[in-house]
Amino acid sequence: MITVAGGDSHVWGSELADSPHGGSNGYSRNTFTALLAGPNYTCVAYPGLGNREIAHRVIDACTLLVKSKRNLVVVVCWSWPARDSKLDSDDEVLELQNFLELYDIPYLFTCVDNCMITDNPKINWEQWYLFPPGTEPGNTLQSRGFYQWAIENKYSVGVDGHPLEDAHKDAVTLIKEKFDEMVKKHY
Amino acid sequence: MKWLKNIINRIKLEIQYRKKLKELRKRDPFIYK
Repeated sequence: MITVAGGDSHVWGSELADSPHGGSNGYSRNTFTALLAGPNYTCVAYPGLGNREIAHRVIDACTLLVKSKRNLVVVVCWSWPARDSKLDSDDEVLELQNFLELYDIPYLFTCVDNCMITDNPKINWEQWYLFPPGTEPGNTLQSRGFYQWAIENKYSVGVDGHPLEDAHKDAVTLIKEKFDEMVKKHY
Repeated sequence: MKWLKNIINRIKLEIQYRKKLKELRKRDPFIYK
């Protein structure tokens, strides 16, 4: 089984110690997506991507892997919709969701910021993991995205502001149960 | 006059959309230009 991860710099692993360059295969193996996946992992995330590109990269990677008859699992951490100059990314989420369901590929979605969350009934929210709401004054009181959760819990960040290894490691302990359940249900 | 009202409404909607987008962009500290 191979895990395909999509997203932006948070999934690429910008500023993590083992992600020294931005070139081919320069992604980190210490992001929460990589740690969830284990050794059979491929990352199609890249810093600065918007959700349209994230969806298309995952679809392209899955299309290739499906042809080679590999068992797949997909994890996507959606970015900010405003990167595509849009107020929401429902179209992109639905495009990828429909593709994955058509090919019977198990998936887990999360996001960097809960501004991704809408009340669109077509989106299968059962397949999403959101980080727990904050409890301190000034924290986000609804379920949060990875970036919100890491910053509001005061995890260390790099010079450019990306949450570092500790946040990714603790994120895995939170997501693992849902990820394992999804994999077990399918394979 | 209906055409003028339509144009004004469209402009108002566009201004609202741009304002919301600007607010959303502020949430993203990593915008790569």
